[in-house]
Amino acid sequence: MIQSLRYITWSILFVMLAATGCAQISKKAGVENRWRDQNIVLQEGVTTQQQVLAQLGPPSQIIALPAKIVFYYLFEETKGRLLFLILYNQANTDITYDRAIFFFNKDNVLETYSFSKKENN
Amino acid sequence: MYHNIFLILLVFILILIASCTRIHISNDKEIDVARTRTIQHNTPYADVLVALGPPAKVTALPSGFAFLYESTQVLQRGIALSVYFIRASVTKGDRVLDAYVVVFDERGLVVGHEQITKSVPLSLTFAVTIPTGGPPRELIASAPQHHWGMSMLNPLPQTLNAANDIDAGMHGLEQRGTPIAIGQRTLAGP
Repeated sequence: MIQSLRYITWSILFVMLAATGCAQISKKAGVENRWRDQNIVLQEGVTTQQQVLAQLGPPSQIIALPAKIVFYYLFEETKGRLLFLILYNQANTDITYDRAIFFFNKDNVLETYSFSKKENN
Repeated sequence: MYHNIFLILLVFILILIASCTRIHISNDKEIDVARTRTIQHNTPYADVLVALGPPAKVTALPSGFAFLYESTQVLQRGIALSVYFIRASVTKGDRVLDAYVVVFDERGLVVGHEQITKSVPLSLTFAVTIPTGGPPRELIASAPQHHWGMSMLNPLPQTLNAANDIDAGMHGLEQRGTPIAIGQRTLAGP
């Protein structure tokens, strides 16, 4: 009987170890966040639309506001952590966005701009 | 004899086992309440950007424009009884939606702003399924900016309603998780 108990205990342990696991997923979408580069030169009242496009590439979205043009850049990152135990399973997904927005006046000159705040800001 | 009993027990445990599942989804950073307090009537839009950074959504309005900041937390808990790959489950969840809208006039000065934090219970579900489910799709859908410019490639009802496309940044704002068959999207709904 003791031998059978051992056998079954080891079997359960083996199955538990074989059937459990964890996983990590990562997904990125949107435009490359070049606005984080140190070499980007932006100056309100001076930089033009063309200069922003040349440095950052095409935006995710262009919006026409009254007397303003908006370039909206978006980089999206999804990170997931999955834990599969037999009796308990857990999934955590964290979706973060890195955004840059540029407002131009009627003359296509940069009026103001803003980047997403980093975690430690 | 014990050997057989234990074997049967092992098989029973493996094919008929109850399990708990916890799913947590965090979508975007929380809105900084301390910073929203600095925004008052007539605050320039540039100061709003300095305080909060770029909004999740921007739209033009007939008399100005508006920003929408959003953060969503979804927590779903479930218990399931599995028989091989068929699963009988009960799930319950909540989502906390934090939204802050700022409306500007044509000069870019704040004319109105409001924040709302609400907890919405997700429906209690009982299902016998093959486990493929998850939280409602509209809560984890990717940002509309990724699809901008593709509004004419949508299925026909949505394309015909493109003049009211809420994701184009020209026809208003909509909070994440809003049912698709309401308001301006009604015609494009299923």
